Amino acid sequence: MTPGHVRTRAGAESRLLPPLPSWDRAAAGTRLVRLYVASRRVPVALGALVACSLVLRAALEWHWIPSSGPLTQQLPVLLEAGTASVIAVTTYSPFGEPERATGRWLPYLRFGTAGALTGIAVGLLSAGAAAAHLPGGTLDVVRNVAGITGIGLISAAVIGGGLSWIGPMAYLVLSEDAILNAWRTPWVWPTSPLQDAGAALCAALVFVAGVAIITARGARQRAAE
Amino acid sequence: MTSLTLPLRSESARIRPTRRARLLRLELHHSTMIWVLPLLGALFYFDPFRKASGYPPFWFVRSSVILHELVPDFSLFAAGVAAWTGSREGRRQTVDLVTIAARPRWSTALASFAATTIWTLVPFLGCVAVLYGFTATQASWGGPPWWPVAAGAAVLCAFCALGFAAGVLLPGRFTAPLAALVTFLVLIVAFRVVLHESHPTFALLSPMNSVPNGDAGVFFHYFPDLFIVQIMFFAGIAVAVLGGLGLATASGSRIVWRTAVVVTALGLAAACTGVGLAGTARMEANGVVIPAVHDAASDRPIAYTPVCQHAVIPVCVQPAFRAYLPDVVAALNPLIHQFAGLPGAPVRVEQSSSSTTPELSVALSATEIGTLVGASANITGSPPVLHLALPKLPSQPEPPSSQSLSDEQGAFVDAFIGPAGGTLGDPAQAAIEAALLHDAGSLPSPAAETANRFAALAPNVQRAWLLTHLPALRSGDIGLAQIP
Repeated sequence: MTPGHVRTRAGAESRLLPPLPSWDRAAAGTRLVRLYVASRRVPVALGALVACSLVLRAALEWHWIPSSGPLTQQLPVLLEAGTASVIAVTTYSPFGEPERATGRWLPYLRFGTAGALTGIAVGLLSAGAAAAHLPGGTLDVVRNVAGITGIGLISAAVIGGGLSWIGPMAYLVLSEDAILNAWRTPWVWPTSPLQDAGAALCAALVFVAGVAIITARGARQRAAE
Repeated sequence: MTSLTLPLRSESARIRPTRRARLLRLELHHSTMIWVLPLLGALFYFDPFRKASGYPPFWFVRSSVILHELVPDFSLFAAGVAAWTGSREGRRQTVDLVTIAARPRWSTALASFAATTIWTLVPFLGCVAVLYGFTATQASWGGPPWWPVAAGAAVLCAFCALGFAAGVLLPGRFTAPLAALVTFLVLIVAFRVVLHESHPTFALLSPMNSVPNGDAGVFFHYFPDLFIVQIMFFAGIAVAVLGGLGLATASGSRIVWRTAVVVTALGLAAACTGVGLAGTARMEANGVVIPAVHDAASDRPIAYTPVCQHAVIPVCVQPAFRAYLPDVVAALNPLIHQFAGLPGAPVRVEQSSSSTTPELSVALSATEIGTLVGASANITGSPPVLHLALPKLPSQPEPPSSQSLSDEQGAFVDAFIGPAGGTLGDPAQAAIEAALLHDAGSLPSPAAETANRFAALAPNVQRAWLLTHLPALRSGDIGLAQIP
């Protein structure tokens, strides 16, 4: 069936509708994106991401981050996990089954939102650290935010969007412990130096897995939510 | 027509407690915290339990992970889940429905809060039970300290209350992750920032204080002053926040409003008192002293009968260190043999508290006293007795050949050869000490060469030289060139 056809009663001949003008289709697409973004509270999420960036700026400005030692990683990782939690929570859908049944563009919207928010989070945190020494630098932020966001997206697919922040927070606790005790494993990438290809690969794998799962299945719908 | 007799007491009044219990039971059954319990158990195993297992089996040292590790880990999820629970009516847009119900919204909110807090405290106490049970199988002296447990419970209640209030007042899907984030931010940043301000003693209110020395709470009672003030502060915050919640959600009932005012005032008073008392704190070697709540009786040393092993000379330790006694004897025996008969050689080794060894402790800041080295010793009295402090020990006694007590050997030699008072020795003393310990690697070149030369001598030649020159060596009258 082409977009111009509409199915009628069983056995009846399909009716051909005149195709929409291209500007109408563009407006419909824009409206769809706008409604999707609103339903996922993306504007509020952007506000939360900006807040994380401002906290990072304040931490660097007022020297809340020690200049050396293992504690230098603590606060940046905390804020990276915070942004990942916020991104994961945006996967929560208030509509449930009706949206799944009718939303043809839903996988694209999920993919686009998760990818765009991750990019924005990285950009905002990097902007927050601009002209100041952030331990690890921007590439560290990219690796950590992407990896922890992947954990958040997987959590959303497993336990639901509303509680998906639990995954990144649990990983945060593990990472903080690893930072303080100088553990080294590629799966706890925030503790690894930037040159560690294994850690970057693990973070990338988790991010790709998270985005793929959330694109294909969306966040789990729980009756309790 | 028959008359009907009705009881004076109304049915609803009679069953009210049951209904309250039912409300709590329903909340307990539906609490989100239940689903987080396995995660909390896993985090407890990976973080606090493993860390505690790495500490020597002394009650106070092991219990330090409760506030330092367990409480921060649990606070994060307690605040987040409490915020999620508190925001439930707002998220489901049933606030109006609940507000017009017969029961005040405050009381239903308190039932939700109580359920979340209970489900936070149950795993917390379970983890403490596992930790203490494990320690009980290894510790040879003393008993579990309960003040850290009470302080930890107060901290968790406070973060539950803060998260819950955030959820009620700012309902939304992002409230829970942001509450968790802010909780961790407060724990790892806010108190650290206060540490660098003009009143750093306020940072003592942080549950994440420094880990005590290995022998803390063994020779002296560890003061409960700080725990009392922490409980006052955090319980005050919890009560004030819950009272404030009553003020924010009170709808019409004057009694409810007045009760909420009183509760808020009491909570604020307790929290402010806690802050004020923390400002009067001073660090001492055995812990934090807060004059207003300090019990002078806890200053007295703990009485004990030392456990001794008779080798060449008796070596005695506090009973808590009983398991380490064979290791200490094995580590010191070669040195005792070598020094026996030399002028000033000890006739007995006794363990002493690291807190009474001034050269071991140094005030790092107004809120922290640190341990500089792994062990320290001095020789006093006549006949001479070696007092050995053991602030840092491995988690378990290790084979005598493992060099796990090399610090103790160094402390012994340093006390015997070096100058009195624990001050740094001259190059000749350092060379002889390094030669006796077979550790010349850390010395500068001329002293290292001398140490290697002396170490290469036969033991009887070394002993003969020491017999003659030890008093002069101790007083600093021997130069490197005079050492054979």
